[in-house]
Amino acid sequence: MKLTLTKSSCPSPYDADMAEDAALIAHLLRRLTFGPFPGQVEELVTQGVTTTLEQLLAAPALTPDEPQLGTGDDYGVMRSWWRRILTSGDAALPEKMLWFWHGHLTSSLTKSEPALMLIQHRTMRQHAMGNLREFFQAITVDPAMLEWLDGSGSTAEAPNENYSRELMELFALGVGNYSEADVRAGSLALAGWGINYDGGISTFFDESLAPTTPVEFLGRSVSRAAEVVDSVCDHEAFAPWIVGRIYEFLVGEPPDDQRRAELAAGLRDSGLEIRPLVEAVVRHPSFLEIRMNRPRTGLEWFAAAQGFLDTELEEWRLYELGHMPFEPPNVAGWPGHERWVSAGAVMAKAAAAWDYSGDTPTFETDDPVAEVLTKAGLYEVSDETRSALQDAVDSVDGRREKSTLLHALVPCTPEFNLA
Amino acid sequence: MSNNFSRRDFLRWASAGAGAAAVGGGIWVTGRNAGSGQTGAAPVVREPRPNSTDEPSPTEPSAPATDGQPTADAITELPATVPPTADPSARRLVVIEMGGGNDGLSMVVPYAVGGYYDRRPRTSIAADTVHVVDDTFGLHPSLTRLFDRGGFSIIQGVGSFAPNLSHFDMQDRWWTGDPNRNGGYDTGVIGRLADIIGDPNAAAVAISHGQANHPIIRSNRAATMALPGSGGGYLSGAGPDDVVRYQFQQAFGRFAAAGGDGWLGRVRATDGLAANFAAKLVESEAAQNAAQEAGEEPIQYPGNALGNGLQFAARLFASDSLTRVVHVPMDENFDTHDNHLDPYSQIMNSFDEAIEAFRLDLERRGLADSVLIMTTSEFGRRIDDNGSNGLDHGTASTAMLIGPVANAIYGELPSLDDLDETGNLKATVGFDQYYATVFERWLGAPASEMFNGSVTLIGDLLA
Repeated sequence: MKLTLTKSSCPSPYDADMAEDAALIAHLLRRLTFGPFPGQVEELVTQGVTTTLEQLLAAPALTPDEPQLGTGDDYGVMRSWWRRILTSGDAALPEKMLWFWHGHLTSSLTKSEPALMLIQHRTMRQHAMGNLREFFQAITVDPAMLEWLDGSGSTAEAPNENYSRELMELFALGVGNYSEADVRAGSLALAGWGINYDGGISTFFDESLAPTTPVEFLGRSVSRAAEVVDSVCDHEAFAPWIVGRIYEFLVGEPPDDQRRAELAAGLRDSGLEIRPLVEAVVRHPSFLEIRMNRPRTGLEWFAAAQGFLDTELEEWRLYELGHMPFEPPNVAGWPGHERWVSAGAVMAKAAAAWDYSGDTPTFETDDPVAEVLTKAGLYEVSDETRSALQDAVDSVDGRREKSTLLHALVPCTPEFNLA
Repeated sequence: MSNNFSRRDFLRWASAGAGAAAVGGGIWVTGRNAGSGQTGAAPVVREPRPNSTDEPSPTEPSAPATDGQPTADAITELPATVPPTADPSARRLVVIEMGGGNDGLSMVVPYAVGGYYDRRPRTSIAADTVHVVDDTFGLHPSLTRLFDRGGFSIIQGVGSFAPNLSHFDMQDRWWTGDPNRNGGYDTGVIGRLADIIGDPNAAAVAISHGQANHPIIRSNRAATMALPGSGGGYLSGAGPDDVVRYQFQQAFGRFAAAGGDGWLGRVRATDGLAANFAAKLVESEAAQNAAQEAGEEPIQYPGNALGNGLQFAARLFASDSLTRVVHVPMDENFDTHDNHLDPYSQIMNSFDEAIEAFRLDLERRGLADSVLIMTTSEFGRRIDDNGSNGLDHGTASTAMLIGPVANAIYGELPSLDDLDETGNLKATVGFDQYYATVFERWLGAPASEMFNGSVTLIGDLLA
């Protein structure tokens, strides 16, 4: 994609090379975390791009204290607990990949209750950078998923097709790689699972509700859920499908056929390990070149704006942006780039930025535009945006007014809304 | 109260003094021959409703209607309760999307078709609870206010002739207006409509009241937008004396005006759309405030997505004559795989409540003759219930027009026995026909410009 951006005049004290590095590091932070947050780029730029990239790839997974359920509004507790983690500035690549999986192997609080979603969340934390086969085996009989896609209570006598269909259509293979007969056969072999609510939540398998004879599924003879998952993971469309989804999440556009095939081959060779796939995508030289080739998502904007404004934005604003943790809009998760560019979202963002700009610190230098852009991690800004900011700040008197105005405007700049 | 309506009452009330109209040609069929596709067997006729004893018994319900024409006795086409405005440019459309797959057989119950009860031992709606529309069909029991107010046309068997059972595939087809996936459209169906009917000066010809950009409003030329709840005052309306806010809005206008291509250009263009539309909202908000200061009690809408979207549409239509279409996705989940009946009743009740508030609001604003509601849903549900007291994904469903329309039933209920290879209903009307009929006859957008290939309009629906 061609950008019409012009390189920023580098904020002192950087030289031209450091300004280039700062732009690349800001890009890595946008893609591999929910940042950049104020001060991060300046700190990392001294060690250079390569070291920073390796450091971001090696970032350990967070091990947050779990939310306390049963003390009030469990739904609100769940949402705000993860929202705070995601937007805290501590969230690194493992948390971002966890966010990816939540939007891919979806379940939602709108159907699966908080206690179920918490169990699923633990499972996802365990597998987000791990092994795909183990992940798919676990999620297939996960209680929130059994509830969300109606596996719970599905029996061989009255099989429910929901999970069988979405497993193949959305999670693992893609349309065109299975038949309606596979959907029906899969639903039979998946039958017999349920959720036990007595004395804490657990799942159970009742053999008497499962099929007594094998069914033909994706060319294999299967009769149990684990065999369904193995058939899917061994299917030739599985690795390319997963590669496509993860590649698009990280890069912002689909891989070409050759790259998809290379990455899929690597994924199979690794025994379906997620981490080496992610590293292969990120380490490719092209990854540094795809700057601002997609919109910032609702949550990415929310986290970055919150860091920039040094406050905690109200949670309901995430509803306006359409990106609430634990509440994907449907089983397909959050839709693609188009949906993050909408006039409605623009209005919601302008309201949020304006509402929180009045309490921001005043500027320390006599170049408030350069100062505020650095704070926002924006090192590549168009002349049009820069001059609009400069003229605006020159039109108001007073340190308070200048700070309010620039802090309200920067989250609304076109550049802040790209990733 | 509505349960005391007999069919005769319904006809008499709905006709409002006018005689029954002659039946047009095409595929206009009432429930009388709804069972005509059913393997020759006569549909089982349920016990007549106790309160319908003043009715002649529905005799020979399986008798095929000659030439697809119903007998006079079965005709329910009657003048609308409110005649539509004759000025095509004043007409607006609200598209209510029932996401998840709306079971048409629960919204409009074929209470006299025996197969319905045979195939759905756990998920059917009892004949003695429906609002009787004619001797075969009745509205869901929760649609009380809709039934009482009238002004609805029912279209049976709407779907694709080459369906798929995936939500996402079928939603995409409905959003692009491409039932059989052969249109090759790069615009959304409402976006395309906006390109044809839109005034170039409109801030937004069509709006989706969703949380973010919606594929259904993607256009080539016309301004279309998706809108959450924020007001317009942030981006429009500050005077120079309000210095900081004024400079904020000025600078924002310059971001928007910078143009360019790629995502940067897209973001800037969207900024421009937001600023223009914010100005419209500021006008609409001012009008609303003035009315309330003058002592007008606002109509109470339910606080869900449908209620909020319809309230927004009523206010906007009243203040902005250039916005022609509002798309409102409901937030209720129609995907009732599990335990269909209770959640479905709640959804219908919520739908009924929001529609009634909207129609009262339109009436007060003098817009009752110019706003038409159409319902959409990606598919219906399986005819057989699934053993979880629920219904799996299906195909053809029932659609409804509400507003200044005839109280009538169009199209033919698909056979409940002659099913496709997935055990689903065979559509009798393509959903492109449904769209085309509404867009051409209500908004003046020729079907030939909307759709590739020829699309037959539905009988005399909206004619």
